[in-house]
Amino acid sequence: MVFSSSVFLMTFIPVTLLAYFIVPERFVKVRNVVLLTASLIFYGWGEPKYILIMLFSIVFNYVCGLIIGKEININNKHRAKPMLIFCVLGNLAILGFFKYTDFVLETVNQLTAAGLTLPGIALPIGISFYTFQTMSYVIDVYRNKVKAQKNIIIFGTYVTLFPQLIAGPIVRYSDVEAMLIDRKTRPEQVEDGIRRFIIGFGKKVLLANQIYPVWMELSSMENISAASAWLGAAAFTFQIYFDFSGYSDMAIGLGKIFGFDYLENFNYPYISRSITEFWRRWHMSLSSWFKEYVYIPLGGNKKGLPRQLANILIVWILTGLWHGASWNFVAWGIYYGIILIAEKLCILKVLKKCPPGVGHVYSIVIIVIGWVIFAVDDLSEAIRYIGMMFGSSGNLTDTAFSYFLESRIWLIIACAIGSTPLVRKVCGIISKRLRERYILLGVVETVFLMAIFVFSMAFLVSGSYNPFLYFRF
Amino acid sequence: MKKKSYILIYAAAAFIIFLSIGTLLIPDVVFSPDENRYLTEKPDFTVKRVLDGTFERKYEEYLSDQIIGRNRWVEAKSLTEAALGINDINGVYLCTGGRAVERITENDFDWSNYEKNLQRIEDFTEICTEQEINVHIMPVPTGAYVYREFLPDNAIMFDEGKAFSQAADAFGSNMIDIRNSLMAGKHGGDVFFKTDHHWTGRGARLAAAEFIGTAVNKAAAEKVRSCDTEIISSEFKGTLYSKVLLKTLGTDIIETSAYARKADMKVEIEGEEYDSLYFDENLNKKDKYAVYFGGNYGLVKIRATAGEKERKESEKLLIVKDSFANSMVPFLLNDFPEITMVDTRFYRGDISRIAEEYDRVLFVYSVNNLSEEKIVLTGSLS
Repeated sequence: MVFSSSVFLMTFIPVTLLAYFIVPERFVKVRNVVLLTASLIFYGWGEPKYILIMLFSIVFNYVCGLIIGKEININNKHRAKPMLIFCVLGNLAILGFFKYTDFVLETVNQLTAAGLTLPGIALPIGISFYTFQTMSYVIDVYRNKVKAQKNIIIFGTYVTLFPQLIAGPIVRYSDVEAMLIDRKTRPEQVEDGIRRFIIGFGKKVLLANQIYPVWMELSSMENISAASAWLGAAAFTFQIYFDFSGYSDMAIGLGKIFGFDYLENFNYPYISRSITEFWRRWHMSLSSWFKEYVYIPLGGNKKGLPRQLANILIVWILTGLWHGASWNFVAWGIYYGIILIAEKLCILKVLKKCPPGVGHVYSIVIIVIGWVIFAVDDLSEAIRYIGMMFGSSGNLTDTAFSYFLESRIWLIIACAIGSTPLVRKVCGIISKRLRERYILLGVVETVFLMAIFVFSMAFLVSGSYNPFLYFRF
Repeated sequence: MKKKSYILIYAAAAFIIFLSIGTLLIPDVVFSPDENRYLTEKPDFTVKRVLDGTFERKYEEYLSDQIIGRNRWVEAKSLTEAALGINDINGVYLCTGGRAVERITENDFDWSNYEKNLQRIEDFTEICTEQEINVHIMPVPTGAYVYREFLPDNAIMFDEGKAFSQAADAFGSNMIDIRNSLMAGKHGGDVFFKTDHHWTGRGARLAAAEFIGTAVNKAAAEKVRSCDTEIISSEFKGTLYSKVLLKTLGTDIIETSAYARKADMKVEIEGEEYDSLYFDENLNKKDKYAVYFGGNYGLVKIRATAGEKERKESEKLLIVKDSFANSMVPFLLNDFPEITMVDTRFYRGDISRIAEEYDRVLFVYSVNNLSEEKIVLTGSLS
């Protein structure tokens, strides 16, 4: 199930909220059962067989966690280690089997002409996210950062918690441990959650979904001008940000409604002044996961420069692969790996001496080109598209550019403003001014947010409005 | 402690309850005339259907199809987009003057299929010419082409001029190019509906006159051009309206040949016989264009019976067509009392066999359908 669907908004959420809040606050364990049940239904909706993989993953990591925790408790780290390795490999095997089997076989076929048949394994949704969550749990148990969870309901609730289940953020057990065991419902947190959810919903439906066709249409044209190629790439740049960060907002908001505070996942990445900064602002839960569980264990920056550069490259190849089983994602990862290395070696020093505008332009150009590599799954096609961005078609501009720029001007402006903290700043000023008149503030805010909610709903419903193409007849 | 009103919580909860309970309470709608399709009704709950995912899929479709105030939501979206200056909505361009036209870009237009269809018609023409059957091909331009100065600025469309010159190259003098006639004619009244992709009665009449001018003579063509017409509906909202549901588009008038309205005739549709080509009950329905023949069928035979005895032997005409021909046929009956229409999208026989019994064959296809359909003329598909 996804958040931007009728069944989620009109059935799942009302029923789940009712069941959850009907249980008195002091029975957190019962509330956890409600959440776990709801999350499993959420997960299995449409593909119930994947619940089995999920249940296996829960039990497997729960048992591994208990064993590792027991050894750690009696200070027996060397006996815990093989278990940890076994558990991590087990998680990677599940992820690898479902996500990368076809990719590996296809690559083997291309290299050797072995002609292996691809099994065509479907990817269970969210597996990349929850596998990373469970791995962080067992590793943290091994590191004695958290105690192993003895209650399988609580552990299962952590793994399956539907707000972040299928598109992140990657929530670490250590961050929510206390809330899993005991949490209160505070109306201001619920209100905060609704606010976040509506903002995220609007970002996804009103911005991401609306700007996407611009990229789709421009990128499928044979030959487009440089201006059109940039406009198309910019449209994708907006689309992926509002889609992904909107989803994170919805997840964080829903988490709050149920009493969980998640860490932020995006922090206005497009205002970065370097790529190093960009990756501190984009999908923060993933970057910090790789830093914590791959980069630092590999030695990080503690073992000399050559080793550090190698570590960066490894992390970025893996980051690329995590995004999808396809060579363009690997290329995209390497692209960022190389740029980050170059920044470490010299670019950052140069940028420091330049006015801030240079850093902004430099970063956004790199980011936009990066998204083209990400979006076009055929590498040679991506290079052809990037070529068009630099004028390979021989035209600076064309009617497609004028048309989309003119007809989407307000959408583009909204996307551009939405990528910066401007709206938040303005809202902050308004709420400060109206601090004393809190009822008026509540009304103003509610009208504004409900307008976003209602319009998003209109756009969502219209998506299902499909006049049958009988007019061909 | 900061004082808070929590109005947002109540408002959001009320909205969600309104949507979910409201949708539950209103009766299910079976058919959506605007979309011309049956809506999904409440799916049956069985364990098997849940496990294979059909229940979940159907349930999502059910909620979106039956959501309270469904068309209002769609209308609100179109209004918002139009207000923001987005002129292409759901595959439709909103033009000046309350006109909507179909949006067909290079990405949509299948050139290779178009060329294949031209080739098929060319091959068919050769067979007919050998048997001394006259063949004419009338590609129908799109509303966007005829009304191109009404399109939004810089609107992207496929290169329709190129499509026409390809057709002219393929068919030479057998082609009837109606573009100039329609473009000149649009100044005296609509030649395409404002809310539908079809041509109006006026457009069809001008096209008919072009054909008569070639197939019969100038004088006959002039008679068609100035013939009496009758308005049979003035509240038509066509397929393009359905795609955007914008009230600003207004309504269209359906106008047809006064002669055909009154003339006695025998119409045989798929073996059933009727005494008129008009199916007036459709004027009370959404799809009013179906007033002509009640829609599209594989094989339709029309014979004007009035004055049959006195009439001298006249030519028999075969029309191979899509829906555009339906509204043109009434204007041809005076000169061609015996017409047979074959719709290649429904007819599964060998059309070259049928053609043997006719004096003249006319192809009427919208350029767009020539790129989308596979037009099979010889041999059967099955």
